Amino acid sequence: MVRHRIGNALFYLMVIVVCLIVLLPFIVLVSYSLRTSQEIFSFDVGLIPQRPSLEAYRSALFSYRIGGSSFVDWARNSLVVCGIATAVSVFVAAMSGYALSRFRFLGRGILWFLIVLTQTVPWIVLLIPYYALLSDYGMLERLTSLSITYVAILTPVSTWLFTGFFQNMTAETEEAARIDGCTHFGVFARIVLPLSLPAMSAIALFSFVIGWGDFLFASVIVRNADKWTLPLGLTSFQGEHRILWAEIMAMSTLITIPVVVLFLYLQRNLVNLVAGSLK
Amino acid sequence: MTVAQRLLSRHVAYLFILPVVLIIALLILYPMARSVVMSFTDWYLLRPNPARPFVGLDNYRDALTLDHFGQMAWVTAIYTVASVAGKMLVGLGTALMLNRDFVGRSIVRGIFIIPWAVPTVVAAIIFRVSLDPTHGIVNGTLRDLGWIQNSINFLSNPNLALGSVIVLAIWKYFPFVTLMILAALQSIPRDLYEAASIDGATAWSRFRHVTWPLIMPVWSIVLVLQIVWTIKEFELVYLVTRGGPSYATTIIGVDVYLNAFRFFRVGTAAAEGMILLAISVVFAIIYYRFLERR
Repeated sequence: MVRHRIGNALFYLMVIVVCLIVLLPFIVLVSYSLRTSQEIFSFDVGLIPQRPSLEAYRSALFSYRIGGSSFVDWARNSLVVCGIATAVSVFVAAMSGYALSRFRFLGRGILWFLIVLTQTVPWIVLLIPYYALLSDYGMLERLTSLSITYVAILTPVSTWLFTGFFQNMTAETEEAARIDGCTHFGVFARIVLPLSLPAMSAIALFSFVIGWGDFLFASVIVRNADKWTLPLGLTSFQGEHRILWAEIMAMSTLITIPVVVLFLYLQRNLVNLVAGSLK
Repeated sequence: MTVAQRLLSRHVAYLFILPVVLIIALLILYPMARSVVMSFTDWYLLRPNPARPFVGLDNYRDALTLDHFGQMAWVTAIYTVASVAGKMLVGLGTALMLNRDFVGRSIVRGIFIIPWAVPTVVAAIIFRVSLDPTHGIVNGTLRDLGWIQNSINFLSNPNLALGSVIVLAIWKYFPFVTLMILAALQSIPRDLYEAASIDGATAWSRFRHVTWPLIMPVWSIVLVLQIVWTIKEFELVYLVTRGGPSYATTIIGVDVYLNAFRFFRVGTAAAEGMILLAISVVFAIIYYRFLERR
C-alpha cells in the first residue's frame, strides 16, 4: 500500500515535470510580454516579471509602425489571406477526399500517390518557381498571389485528412439516401457535409495555422510592409537597431493565443482525425 | 450495380476530384517541372538581361562542389537523425506514461497540444530571446543560481547552436508524436494486459509482447512522416540561426533559401532543391507503401 502510494506520488511528479517542460517556452513568451523592453535591457530577466505591465501590448498594437503599416494591418492581411485559402482548400479537399474514399475510378491510385507525394515535397522547391512565375506575370506583392500559394500547399494535406476521415465513417446513411433517389451531389451536400462538420472544423484549423504561421512564402512573395502578414511583421523587429523584445513577445502572444484556444477547443477532434488518418 | 450505373458513378467521381487535380497539376506539378528546368539553366535573379541559357549539369556541379557542401550534408544528417530520434523516443516515453487513468489527464492532453499550436515563427523567436547571452532567461536563470560566471552564447558556438535547434525541433514536435501514439495505445483492449498479467508477465515483457506489436504500425508511419516533415521544414532553423554560425546549422533547405533569395543564384538553388526533392521522394515512396499496406 505504501509502495503503491510512493509510486503514485512519483508518477504525478513526473507528469508535472514533463508538463512544465512542454509549457516552459510558452510561459517565457507570456512572461516576457508583460514587461517593457527597458526592463529587459536593465536585466529584469527572471521568470516572473518584477513589475508586470501591459505597456508592450499597447505599444506593439498602436505605436509600432513600419512603412505606415501596423500590427492591425498585418493581422487583417493574415486573416483575409489564410481565411480565403482555408475555405477554398477545405471545400475542394472535402470533395476529393469523399471521392477517394467512396468511389473506385481509373487513376485513383495515381491521385492518391500524388496527394502523398505533395506532402513530402519540400516547399522551398516550389517557392523558387513560384517566385519566377509570379515575377514573370507581374503578380508579386499581391495578397491574392499569396492566397493562391496557400491553397496549393493546404489542399493536399486537407485531402489526405478528409480521405482518412471518410474511410472511417460508415456509408450506410449515404446508401439509404441514394436508394431514395438522391443524386451523388445531393448526398454530398445534404448528408455528408453536415455529418462531417466536426471533422471539417478540425481540418480547417489544421490548415489555417499552416498559413497563419508561414514565413517562407510570405517573405518572398510580399515584401512591402503594407502587404505583410503577421509572421513578417513579427520578424521585422529583429532587423531593428535595438530589438524591442517586449513588443515582439507581446505580438507573438497575440498571434499565438487565438490558435492555442482553438486547438484546445477542438483538441479531441483534431487528435482523433489525424490519428485516424494514420491508422 | 449495373454497368451503366457504375459508369455514371465513375463520371461523378471525376467531377468530385476535378478541382484537386487542377490544383495539383497547375500549382504543384507544373512549378515543379519549371524547377527541374531551372536547375539546368544559368539563372541569376538580378541580371538585367533576361537570358537564361541552358548550362547542362553545371548547377549540379556547382552545388556539389560548394565549399561547405560536405559540412551541409553532415549537418543535415545530424539534425534530421537527432531530432527525429528525439521526437520519436520522447514521444513514445511520454505516451506510455500518459496511458493510464489519473486525475487531470485531460488537462495534460491539453497542455501537450500547445507546442503544436504555437506557430513556428513564434517558437523560433521565443528560443532566440531565451538563449540570448545577456538578456535571455536561460543565462539569466543560470547566473541567478550561481551555476555559471560568464554567459553562455548558445547561438554563436557552433556545437551549441546545432544542439539548440535540435532541442527546439524536439520540443515543437514531440507532443504530436505523443498524442498519435497515445491514440493508438488507447485502442488496445484492456483485457489483453489483464491476460498477460495473469500469465505473470513483467512490465517489460508486457510492453515487448503486447503493447509494441500493436502500436508498431502507427509508430512507423509517424516515424516516416516525421522524417519527411523534418527534411522539408527548415523555417525553424532558419528563423533561429539563419544557418550560422559559419554554416554550423546550415541544413540543406536553409542553403537553398539563402542561395535563391539572398545571393540570387537561382540555378544553383534549384539544383540543390532537386537533390533535396530526390531524398524526399524516396521517403514519399516508403510512406506511400506504408499507407497502402492497410
